[in-house]
Formats: sequence, structure tokens, C-alpha cells
Amino acid sequence: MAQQLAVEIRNVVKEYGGHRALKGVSLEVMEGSVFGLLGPNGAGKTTLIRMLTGITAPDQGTIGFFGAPWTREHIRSVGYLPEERGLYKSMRVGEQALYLARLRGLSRSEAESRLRSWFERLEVDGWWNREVADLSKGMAQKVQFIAAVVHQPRLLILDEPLSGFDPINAQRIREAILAIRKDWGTTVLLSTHDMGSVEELCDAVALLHHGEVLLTGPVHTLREQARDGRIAVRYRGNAIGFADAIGATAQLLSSQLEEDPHFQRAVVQLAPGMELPEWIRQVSRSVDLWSVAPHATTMRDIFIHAVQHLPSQA
Amino acid sequence: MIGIIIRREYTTRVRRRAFLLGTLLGPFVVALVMGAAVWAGLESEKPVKAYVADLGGLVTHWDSVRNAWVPNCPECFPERPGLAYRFGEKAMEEADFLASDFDVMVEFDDAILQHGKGLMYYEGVPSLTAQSRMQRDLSEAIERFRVKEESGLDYATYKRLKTDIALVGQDVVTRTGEANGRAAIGFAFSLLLFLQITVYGMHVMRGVVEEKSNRIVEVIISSVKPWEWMAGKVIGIGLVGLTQIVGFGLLGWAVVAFGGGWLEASGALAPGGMMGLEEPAVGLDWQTWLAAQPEWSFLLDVNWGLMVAATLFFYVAGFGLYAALFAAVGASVEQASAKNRSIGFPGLFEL
Repeated sequence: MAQQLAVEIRNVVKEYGGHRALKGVSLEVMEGSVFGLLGPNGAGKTTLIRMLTGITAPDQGTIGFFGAPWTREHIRSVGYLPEERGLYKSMRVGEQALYLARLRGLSRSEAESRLRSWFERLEVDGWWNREVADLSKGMAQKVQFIAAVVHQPRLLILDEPLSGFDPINAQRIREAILAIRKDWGTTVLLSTHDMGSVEELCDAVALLHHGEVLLTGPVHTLREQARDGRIAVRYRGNAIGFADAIGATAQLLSSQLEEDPHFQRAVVQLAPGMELPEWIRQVSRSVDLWSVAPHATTMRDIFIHAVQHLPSQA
Repeated sequence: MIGIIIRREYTTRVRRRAFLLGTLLGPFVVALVMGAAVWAGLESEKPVKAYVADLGGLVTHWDSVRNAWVPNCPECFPERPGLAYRFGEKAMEEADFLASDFDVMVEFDDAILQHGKGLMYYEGVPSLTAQSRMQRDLSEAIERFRVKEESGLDYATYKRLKTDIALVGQDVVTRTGEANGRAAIGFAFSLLLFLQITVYGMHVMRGVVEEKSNRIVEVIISSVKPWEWMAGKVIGIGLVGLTQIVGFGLLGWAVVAFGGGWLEASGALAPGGMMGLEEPAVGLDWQTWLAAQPEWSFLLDVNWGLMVAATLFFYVAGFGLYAALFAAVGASVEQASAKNRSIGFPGLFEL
């Protein structure tokens, strides 16, 4: 069965007092995927998210939501964890979580049942009757995460969900996000600067910069494209000898010593027309090659490369 | 949805200590202070024995039969349970006064006719009631002396001729009378409305500013429609103010009902009791007593049902308007610190 589009954004434009925050953005988010919304500060990520949560509306363009034009009636199907998080300090933790859950349309008993389960799962069950003001930042974030997911939304929007968590709790939240996707088929829109999370969680990403989409697509496709024929080599010997050996067959992009000074790691890009088996055969005549593999491009590399090599900056 | 918001706005505020103190303890403290004043008055109502030193012989004469100085007008100095007079032509020395069983010594001479002042010596201040009675008794005695000496009229004729004019107002359209007391009641209720609307209007503004600054509003608005959020906030907080008004009303009613009953039971309203009413027409129940007080009798004429209904109506309508204005100001303020500078506009408009 063909996968449905969860979110379809077409040529969306948004201006604030003369500043164009989004300049004709188009994106597609597949249902049941974890989609990473990346970009430097001020790229327009939050503006886009606010449109999907009904806080603001596009000046131009359209937003589709699971096959229908987006309307405010859809907000019940959305879970939202904003980047700048806040809770009512004068309320008790459980009472506040109940309030937020009930605003999402759950009955009191259903909300309490689900919340208790989530509190136990994220190990905040001892905090139900405590004041919000007593919560640590991490605990407060867990409560807010729970409030965002308790109604089993079709679309879950998480803006920097892992900031402020220690590694153990960050991993716990990552696992929860993947479980939500797997168990409920929830589509997750993840806005983050944490490229490790993108690598681990996202099926596809879009990189926004100055209100425009610089690149978008599945993570594996972007990584493959970014690799662009580069290969990682581990060899025994010195860099000068290695450079002499590869000659014009490839361009040496980087080389560095390993802890064991007899070994080096290098990244090379093969010359046009040069096939990998032939290159290995030629180089191995004078260099002791220990491993040759496609260069693993990280999302961090892709992000930095895309932003630093904008057409206007070239 | 709106009901959930109303409930949160209402319950989180009414259970705050500040609200409970403001609603219950505030009027209770007022009632307590008033009660304490009455109680203190009763407590200090120990019998006073006064020595009147009439150095000029203006209001007393020597009675050879009783072998004592007696007042020319005995009815001016009636013997009461709490106040007894003895008279003389000379003032006592300080040591003699302290050694005597007198609590007060009132001293005056002919000069009282010019400057209208007498001296009162005491060891321990007598109660205000006793002072008031002594002042009234002496005034009447001096007045009788002056009427006799300066006009030749008898005092009964003088009293009959003496005229006090009062102006009674009437609205030419409604044909209803207007009294200062009623105006004061209107002012008091207006002040209550102004304070309630301002205080709880500021609650709305503070709530909007805080929810904006900590971004929880983004979560709320992504769950409910903006008008539901705002209406829920205004109605919820408005109900808090309304609860307080009802609390004030109930407590006021309780204070009047139980306080009046307590005063009746204590006998304070009885003739010659604490309130000093001596007219036999005055009964023992507090409403009759109140009706006999010229300054307070208007309270019995006020249509309290109408007052309460009007207060509730104007509060609901006024709060709806001004809370929306306060909310608009809160929405336009970027930071919590700036909200204090923005209160002036709706406050001034409201005033």
C-alpha cells in the first residue's frame, strides 16, 4: 500500500513586519516517518511549526494534513512540544498534566490512566502530587513530553526535545519517540540541532536556511549524494608515500595519524572514470592498504557543507 | 474545552492562601476590629464617679437640708448605672483626688461662659461614653444657666423656640428622596466594584503575560481555539472575583445578623446600656435600635436585594469589558517587567 503524505507544504510564504521568514517553502512528510527539520537559528523552522500547530497561518501557499487541507479542527490530532517550555508553577504536576491532556480531548479518567502509565514509563511517577516549581529542568521536560504525546497524536511535533536531558534520559526519550512511531504509527516532526539524534531517529530531513529549503529527502539518499565518490582508506605507511602512490588516480581530501603511528586514515575522491577495484589494484602495489570503504558522510557534514556552500556565497 | 479552562483558572486561584485570606480574613478582620472596638467600649464601661468642681457656682448650690452641693437642674445630671456625680465649690488638691474614690474631677469657673471649656482630671482615662455623657450633661446645665441669665426665658420655652433646620432632598423625576447615607452606600459599592474589577482585571493581564513569557500559551493555543482560551481565562478569573463579592456579602450578613443578636443579648442596646439610649421608646432588638439612630437609620431603607443584584450585574458586565481590555494590554506586552507600566491605560479608562 502506498504511503500517504502526513504533511504536504506547498510554496508557503510568511512575512513578519517586512521580514520574509519563509520564502516559498515546499516539503513533504510521509506518514509514519520521523522527519527532521534542520537549519541554523532564524532559518524559519519555528515559523513552520507554528503554522502546523495553528498558532499562525501562511500568507501564501497551502498546507495539507493527511490528505486534506489543514484547518484548526486538525489541532486535536497534533502533539506539540515547543522549544521554550513552560508549565504553570503554582499547579501540581499531575493536575497540570491532566489539564493539558483534557484540553486535547481526553476524558478525565482516560487522561489519568494514560498519564499514570506514562509517568511510570518515564520514571516521574513519584512526582504526581508535587508542585511544578519543585521539578528539575529534566523532570519538567519529561512532564511536557508526556503532555505532548498522551492523546496519541497522528502528528507529533517536537522542537529540540532532547535539550537539557542527561545522556540516559535523552536516550529514554529517543526510545520513546521510536516506540510512539512504531506502536501508534505517529508521524514525528523533529526540529533539532542535535545531529546525533537526526542520524539515529530521522528517516528524512529538510534543511532550511533563511526561509528556504536548501535540501530535503531521505537521510540515506542525502548521505549517498553527499558521499560523491569519496572513500575512506586505512593504510600502513606515511602520508607522503601515500600521496605519491595515488598520483592522479584520486584527490587526497584528508589524512590523519591513528593512535598507532604506523597507521593512517585518509579520505580520497577518485578521479572521474576511475573504478574502485582498478584504483585498489594500482595503489596496493606501493601502499600497504588495510581497509577501503565508502566514506560515511555524517548529517553534520552535510549540514555544514550545505550552509557553507550556498550559491550566493560561492 | 472552555469549561476545563474556566475550572483551572478558578480553582488555582480560589485555593490560594492570598485569596482565602483576602475573602475570609479581610472582612473578618474588619468585623473583628469593629467587634473589638465595641468589646473594648464595653470593657471600659466600668462605673465612673465624677466630682464636679463648680468654682463660680454656675450650675450648683448648697443644699442645707442634704448638707451638700447639689445641681440647680437635677435632671441635667441624672444618676446612671455607669456614672455618678458629686458636686463641690472647690477643686480638690491632687493628693486628695488620688486618695479619694473619685475617678474624674471636672473643674470650671465663670470663664466657661466665654470659652466653653472645662478641665477634666483623671487617673486612668474614662471611657469615651462616660466622657460624652459628662460633656452632654454639663453642656445642658450651662445652657440652662445662660438661657435663664441672658434671656429671661424659661428653659422649656427656649427649647420650644430653638429651631434646627434640615434639608430633605427629592428627585423631581423619580419622586424619591436622596440622603447622604444612601449616596455613601452607592459610593461604597462603586468602590468595591472598581477594586474587584481592577484587581481581577490585573489577574487576567498577569496571566496572559506569564503564559506568553513562559510559552505555555503555545501549547494551549495548539489545543484549543484562541477565543476559548481567552474566554475561559476571563470567565474563570471573573468567577473568582464574584466568589469574593459573594463571600463579602455573606460575611457582612453574618456579621450584622450575629453581631446584632449578640448586642441584643448583651443588653448593650437596652435603655441606659452601652449605647446610651435613654428614651423608653427604644426596644431591645437591633433593628429598632438602628431605626432610632439618625445617622444609620437609612440602612433599613436601602433595598439590599436590588443593591446586590445591581452589584452583580455591573460586576459581570464591567469585568467582561475591562478584563478584555487588560488582556489586550497583556497580549501587547512582551515581557513581564513591562506590564506594570501598561496598567495605567485600562485603569484610567475604568476610573
